[in-house]
Amino acid sequence: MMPLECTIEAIHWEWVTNFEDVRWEAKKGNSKNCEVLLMRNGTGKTTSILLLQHLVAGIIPDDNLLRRSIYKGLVESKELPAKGGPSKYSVTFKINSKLYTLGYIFQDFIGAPEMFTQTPTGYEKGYKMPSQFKNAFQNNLSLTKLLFLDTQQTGNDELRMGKDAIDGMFKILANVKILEYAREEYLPKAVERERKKSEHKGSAKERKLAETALKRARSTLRDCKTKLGVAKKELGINQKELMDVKLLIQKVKDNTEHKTKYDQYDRRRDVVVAQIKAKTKSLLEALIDPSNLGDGIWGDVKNYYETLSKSRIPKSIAREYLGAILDEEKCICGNAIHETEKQCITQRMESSMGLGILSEVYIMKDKVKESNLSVEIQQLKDDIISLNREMASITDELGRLKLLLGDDERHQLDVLGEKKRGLSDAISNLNDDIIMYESTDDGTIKTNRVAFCGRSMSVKGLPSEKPEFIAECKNIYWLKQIEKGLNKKLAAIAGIDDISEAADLVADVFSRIEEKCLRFYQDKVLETASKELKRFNLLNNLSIHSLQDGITLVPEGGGAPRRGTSTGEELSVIMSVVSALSSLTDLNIPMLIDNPTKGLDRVKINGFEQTMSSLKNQVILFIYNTERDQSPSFFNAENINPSTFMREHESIEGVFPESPPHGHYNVKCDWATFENYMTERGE
Amino acid sequence: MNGNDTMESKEQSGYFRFADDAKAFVKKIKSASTSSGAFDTQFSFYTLCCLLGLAAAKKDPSLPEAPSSGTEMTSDWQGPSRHHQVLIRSLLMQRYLESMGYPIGELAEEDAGTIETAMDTFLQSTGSRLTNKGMKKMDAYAQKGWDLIKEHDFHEITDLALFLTYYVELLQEYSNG
Repeated sequence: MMPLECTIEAIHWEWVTNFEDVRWEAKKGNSKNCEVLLMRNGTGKTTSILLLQHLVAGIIPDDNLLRRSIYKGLVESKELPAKGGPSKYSVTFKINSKLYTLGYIFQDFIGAPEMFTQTPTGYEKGYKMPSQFKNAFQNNLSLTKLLFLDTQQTGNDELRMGKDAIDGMFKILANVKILEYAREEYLPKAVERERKKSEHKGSAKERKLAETALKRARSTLRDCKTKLGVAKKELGINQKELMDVKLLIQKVKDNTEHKTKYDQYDRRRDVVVAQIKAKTKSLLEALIDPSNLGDGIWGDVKNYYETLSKSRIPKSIAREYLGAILDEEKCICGNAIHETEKQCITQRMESSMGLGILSEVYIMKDKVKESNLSVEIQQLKDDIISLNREMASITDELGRLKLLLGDDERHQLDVLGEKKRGLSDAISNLNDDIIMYESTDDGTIKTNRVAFCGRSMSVKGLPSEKPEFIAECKNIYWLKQIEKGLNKKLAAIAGIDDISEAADLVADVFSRIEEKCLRFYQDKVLETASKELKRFNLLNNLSIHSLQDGITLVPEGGGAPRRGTSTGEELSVIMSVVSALSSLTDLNIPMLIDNPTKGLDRVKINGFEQTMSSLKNQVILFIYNTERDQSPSFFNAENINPSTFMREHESIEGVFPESPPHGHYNVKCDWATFENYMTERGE
Repeated sequence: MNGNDTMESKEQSGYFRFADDAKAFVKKIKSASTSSGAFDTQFSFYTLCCLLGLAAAKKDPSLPEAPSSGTEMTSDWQGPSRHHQVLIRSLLMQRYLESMGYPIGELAEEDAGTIETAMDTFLQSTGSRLTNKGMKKMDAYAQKGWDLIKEHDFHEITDLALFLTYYVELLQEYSNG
């Protein structure tokens, strides 16, 4: 990747969200890399960030985002009859010392906005950013979502920290996204073009049948991809809703006079559940290992193979000699052997046990000999029984507590509990569906052959060519295999097998390069981000477990990997990853975060302050006054450049005059306003 | 044709088969969504059934019919069982050879040929390392284990942790007997 030095120099809102015509500019001439924009809630911070994410990725906003962007401001408060000019949103970047302004012009928020770029040489329509910038950001919404963080979306981490998002981001950064496109789109189309041009060798009927099947495979593939997208979106929504329901349950419990007891039992229940899960997993793993079966069974096996292998040794040596002679085509005396001798040796070998089998027996003997009772199954079983007893007693206690609640509170808990169960079931079903659509593991697909593939896979694991059978397939990987097979068949009919095979080989090479690059980024970023994350002192000393399945976390001392679930955790993880990305690549790119300390406790705020101080790249923070007041040691002249967004006639206490005009939004850059402005009053 | 070709031509690619009601049990545990979790793969439960069947065969070597066509699962080892496949195969083949009349006390040099032939029809050097015959034998032991679980009504349990504690008791009963 080419080096990229990039900062945001200005953001210009023109009749967008609540802003009339406001231009914010980064301070020049000082070494501080942190810009803090203080503004009240509901001004349009989130919309500004969403627009920035799309703008930098060169993506046109969808209808939902367009609706959010419509100017409301003084029109809604009837201070103005209509907006006072065309709506635009633009951002000026300094890229390797040159200024570029990238923006949207909204056509009254109906239909797609127009994109423009003001380059050092002039105004151009469209996304005309320099190639270093394009390589990193164009169509890389996953990266821009990480860099320009909307904290309202944190906690809903599947979309931002899931496998698709993280792999996609790395692939674009490694410049291998183009290989994926070539492999999946361009090469198959090129082969198809060649096929259509070629002289056909097979029968017209044969070709027609294969073409119909291919058409069905492609439409089913499209269908599955759409359904997968819907399932993932629903999963994200349900996960967020489940978190909200859990918070509501917590709130109801917090408001009862039994809060302390609830807290005590809930905490204990969480610990016991985690222990049961961990012990059950260990017991299952132990039971699958036959060496844990105990002497009654396993002792016999050990002795059996020892005895068995002793009587096989002479033959194995003989076979190894014969095998070597065949391979080298030379006798042990040095003379060449010919076809007759070879046949003789082969016949002799055939009449004896296969070499592979013999080596398998020796592996068995060695493995069996080395095997030892590794886990005390009885102990694990006893632990589980005692934990189950404790769980039953906690459940009883919680039941008793519930009986002490008022009717209203009990009803609320019942309703929320029901909702929680419903959402958990829905999440579990959606996860199953997602696995069905996107599993690429041969074993998993074949095990679930009927559910995943229907009749598109035969009992023998072969792809069907019947369109009605293909339509039953719900697994994307298998559909691609069917598509590949049909393409090969059509290539053979057209007599272009060699071109088709060459395309397959190139696709295979591309796929391996993508894999290698992805692994390189995953390993490097994991190593650095893990160090960064330590600053945040996350609960249970959470650390980054892996980046191979999106970003997964694991508590200290092991346990099941999971994604960050709280806003604070996710924010901490993302900041660590971005910091690692910047230090590992030649990308010096800005980050923008709204409400960065929202949801963070004191310890994590300390971690946030430390990370901010150590980030080399530019950081822009959107905050409101409570955040400023929580971190006086960071939000000061030593660390940041301040900007305050307030209306012309608004007082420093955030109070508006009793009657309009409230005046347009302005940006004030002095310390007195920044330190004293109260964003939580007025409007 | 050289020797290697000859050997490769003998290789088979069959499927492990598992009774439909056993597969349904794995699903039932999963959908119950209790706090103890679920089987990581169907194959893990298949392995548990097989090991129970192999343990029980010490007392009673009789074997039920292996599940029939239509119950195919996978052609290769899966999940954590993959890591223990050599040991599982060792136990399986020991039981097989014993059932053919070659217990440890009676292994003699002159039987080497017959034992080799028996192994040849049981093991191979690719894929699951089991020939179709070997796989079928393993399926039969898994069926034996599953039958025992049903006989004790443990298939009615929906919580994995609870099931495993009962499974251990059953296994110990056969291992120590």
